[in-house]
Amino acid sequence: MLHLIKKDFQLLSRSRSDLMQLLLMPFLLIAILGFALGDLLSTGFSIEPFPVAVVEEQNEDEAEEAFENHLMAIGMGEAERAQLLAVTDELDPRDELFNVLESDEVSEWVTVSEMSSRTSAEEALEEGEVEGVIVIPEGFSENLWKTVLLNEQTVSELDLALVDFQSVPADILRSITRSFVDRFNLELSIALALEGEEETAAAANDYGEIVSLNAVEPITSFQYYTVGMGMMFALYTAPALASRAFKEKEQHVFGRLIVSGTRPINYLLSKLVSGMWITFVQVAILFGLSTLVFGTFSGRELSFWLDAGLATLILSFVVGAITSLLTSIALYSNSDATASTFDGLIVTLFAFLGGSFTPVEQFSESLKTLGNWTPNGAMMTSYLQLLQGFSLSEVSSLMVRVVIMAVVLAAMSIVIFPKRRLD
Amino acid sequence: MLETKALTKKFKSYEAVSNVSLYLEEGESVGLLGPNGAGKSTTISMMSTLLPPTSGEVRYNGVDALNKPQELRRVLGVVPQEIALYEELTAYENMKFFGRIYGLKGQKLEQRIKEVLELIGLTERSKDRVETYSGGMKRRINIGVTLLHEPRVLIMDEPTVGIDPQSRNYILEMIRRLNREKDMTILYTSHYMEEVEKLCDRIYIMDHGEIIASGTNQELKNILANDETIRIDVETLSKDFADRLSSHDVVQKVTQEGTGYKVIATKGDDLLGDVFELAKRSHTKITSVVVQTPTLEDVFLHLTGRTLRD
Ligand SMILES: Nc1ncnc2c1ncn2[C@@H]1O[C@H](COP(=O)(O)OP(=O)(O)O)[C@@H](O)[C@H]1O
Ligand SMILES: [Mg+2]
Repeated sequence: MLHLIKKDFQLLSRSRSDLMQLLLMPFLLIAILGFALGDLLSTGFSIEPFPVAVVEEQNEDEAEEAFENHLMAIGMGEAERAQLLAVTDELDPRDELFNVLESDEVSEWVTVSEMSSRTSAEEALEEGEVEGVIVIPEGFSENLWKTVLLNEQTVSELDLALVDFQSVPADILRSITRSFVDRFNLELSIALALEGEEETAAAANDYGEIVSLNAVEPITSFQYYTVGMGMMFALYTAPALASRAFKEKEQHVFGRLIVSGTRPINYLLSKLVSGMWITFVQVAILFGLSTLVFGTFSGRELSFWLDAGLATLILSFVVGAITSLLTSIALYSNSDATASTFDGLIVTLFAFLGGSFTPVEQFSESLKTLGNWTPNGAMMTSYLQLLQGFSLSEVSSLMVRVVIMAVVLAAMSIVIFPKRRLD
Repeated sequence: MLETKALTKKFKSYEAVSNVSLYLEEGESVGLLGPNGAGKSTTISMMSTLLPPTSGEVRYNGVDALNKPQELRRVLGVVPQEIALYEELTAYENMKFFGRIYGLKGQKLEQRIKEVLELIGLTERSKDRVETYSGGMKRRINIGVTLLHEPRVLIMDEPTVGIDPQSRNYILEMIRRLNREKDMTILYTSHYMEEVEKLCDRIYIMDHGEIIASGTNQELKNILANDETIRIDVETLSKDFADRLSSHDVVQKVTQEGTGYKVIATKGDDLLGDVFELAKRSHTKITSVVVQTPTLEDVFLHLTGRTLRD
């Protein structure tokens, strides 16, 4: 088995045309696209601000008035009331939210506009003037104050409406608002535990951490195309190996292997592992070379490389499975037509859908969704999110999807594989 | 040792091999002679457990080799009709790869590679890629790879097709030595009767998927014991003369060969006198007449009415 894999590797590394297709071509394309489309992409993809409307359904004064009424209703004395109302000025969720949204990191890609009502914001959302709406609902501040200052347990949430739930900025926005609410909840529970100690108001100012946790790092065009071309050309490895397998059959080397006692299923598995191993090396070379020459991923932390390594392993697995399937089909149908079609047509189609050439979300959101159902597209999104600082767990659902695809493809290849009939 | 019983292979409705029964005794050198398309390669593929037959059996030492191929595969070496090698790799790399597939490794593998390279005379070129080799060299390494694991039974499918006479003699000599010195059992397939005649103890003649004759070289020629072959060269070919020859009572077959005719006829009568008489009548000048001992080619011609190269 090991000899079979070593031999595939040896053969590929001897073939000038394969080396050109699998390494030189993508590298040249990375260089060309990286330089030529540098500006186009950065405006089109990550720097363009994401317009968000913020609606405060109850303004500060109204909220304070409602709170004061509540205090009077529970029969609190004048002096005590004044003291609590002074604290509410400092503990204002709206201001805190704006602090986050207007911080340096976030304001780079979010522009905030305040709107007076939920309906007008929703209209703007429909018209496409804004792409997200955050609503601080009526009673949000009051509930907060009741909880913190009066130890009355109430829950309230921010409303977040987004046009586009799939896009990367939308993800980030969602995650920020979620953390924002969580953070409040945390502060609140601390406040509850401390039973109204004055500290809480000051502590609630400390949102810096949340922001840096989710800080999005803009993607450079070199990064985009290194990943894009890496995904696309990794796919080419599968037909390259499958057509070699067909050649082995044609030239009766396969027969020699079988006569020598090699089990056909081991031969198939060797193709899967070869595909995997070759893809891994190929992507590692492309990413490494791109970093050396263009500084694409320089300065990244070890954890990024580990995550990217895992992603590459998953990518390799799915390419290995495709290799295995194409090999099976070629040996079963006694023709490498399927491998050629994959090489000539499907890779290009998948590469386009997966966003190797340009982010497809600019055309339509459903295209992007479709793209994430191609193995290369799902992996591309994963890599890009990792690059933007997302954690592995946040992108894991796409990766799991790809692993499942790989398992299904590999299983199909075994079912199709002609185990006994070799004519 | 290795035998087939009523081996038959149908490709869709076309029967490429019908009812072939043959056997190899230990240490024997057996030839399978037949024109292109006779079904030789298909027979061999089935015998080497590569191609499942439509019906029939392959037995190795009495064991059904189709259901239990392991034992046979261990001792079997098959030299395919095609150059079944990785042409992008060197001869040495090919040998190393296939040797490992056969479970050889380390010192033993290196030793065997060295021996085989010497045997096939490619030691000097072993570090060159196979794609740079001449046809004859490719044929030799194609055989060499099969010898690494020291097979007891060697099946060769037209191993000398399309190469120069020198390489051909080298290969034939090599096979003879493997048979004589290493006591290897050999099944040699060819459509060149001289090769089979020279190399093999016993011969099967195959045509249209069937074995049409078998036996030793002499036994086969005895089929023609009552016949004689006469070679007649003429100054100018004449259809009239050929027709007259054909219609002679004892003449079985007339074929044109080069500047003359080959006549197969029943022995005994004074055919020669008549030949000159017929030539005179059709105004044809005979330049030479030779009475030949029959060759396997003639046997084939006799049996099928066609030449091996038709
Ligand atoms: N895989 C196949 N499918 C269909 N026909 C085949 C196949 N292999 C061989 N044949 C046919 O069977 C006949 C015998 O072929 P083969 O065994 O290669 O003959 P030989 O080796 O004696 O030249 C030929 O007519 C050939 O076209
Ligand atoms: Mg043949």
